[in-house]
Amino acid sequence: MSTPDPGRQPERTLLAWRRTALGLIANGTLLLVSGHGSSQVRTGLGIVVLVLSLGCWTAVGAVYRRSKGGAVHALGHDHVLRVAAGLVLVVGLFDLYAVITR
Amino acid sequence: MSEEQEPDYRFTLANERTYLAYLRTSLACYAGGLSAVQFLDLGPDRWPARIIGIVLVLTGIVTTAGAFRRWQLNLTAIRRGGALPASRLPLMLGATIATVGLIGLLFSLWR
Repeated sequence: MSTPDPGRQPERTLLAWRRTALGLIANGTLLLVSGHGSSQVRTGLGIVVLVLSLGCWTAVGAVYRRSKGGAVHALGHDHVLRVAAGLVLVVGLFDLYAVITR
Repeated sequence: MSEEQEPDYRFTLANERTYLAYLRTSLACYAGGLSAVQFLDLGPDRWPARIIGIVLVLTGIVTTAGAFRRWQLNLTAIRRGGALPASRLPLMLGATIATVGLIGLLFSLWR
């Protein structure tokens, strides 16, 4: 391509990952709230999701730091995106359970 | 045409961001579904809110799966230099969310 742009695209992608992790955190918090006082299972699931989301947040940052600049390429690999989809699917199933049993 | 080539990294990253945007959409659907059962008071029993919640969370789950499929198909198309495949995912998503919103509105007016 004619205009090399090494810095911004990877950074934007990292930020997109970060926003996704924030979405996970929001879901964990909601699960926690929906379970509080009424169902220990929902509280437990909320904590699990929160821990996973914080892990996701940290992991994304760590991968980015390790591969500076040329960067988030590493995250573009199939299996990382597969893991992300899996994580979101699991959270979805937890949420489905919470919605049905609430 | 069918020769696969590693594309400009910007296209791969853009494809990845689109995928992440879909994931966030499904996370928002989940959050909306959870909030519906948590905060909506639509009647003596909880079922109206629960049905809205179930539909939203299921929409989110379908969106997650569809997003991954779409990312894969787009990546293949980019590598082959072909046109990006058409997808019904945005239409389905928009229609479902609009319907749920309308039903929620009707319920709250009716109540």
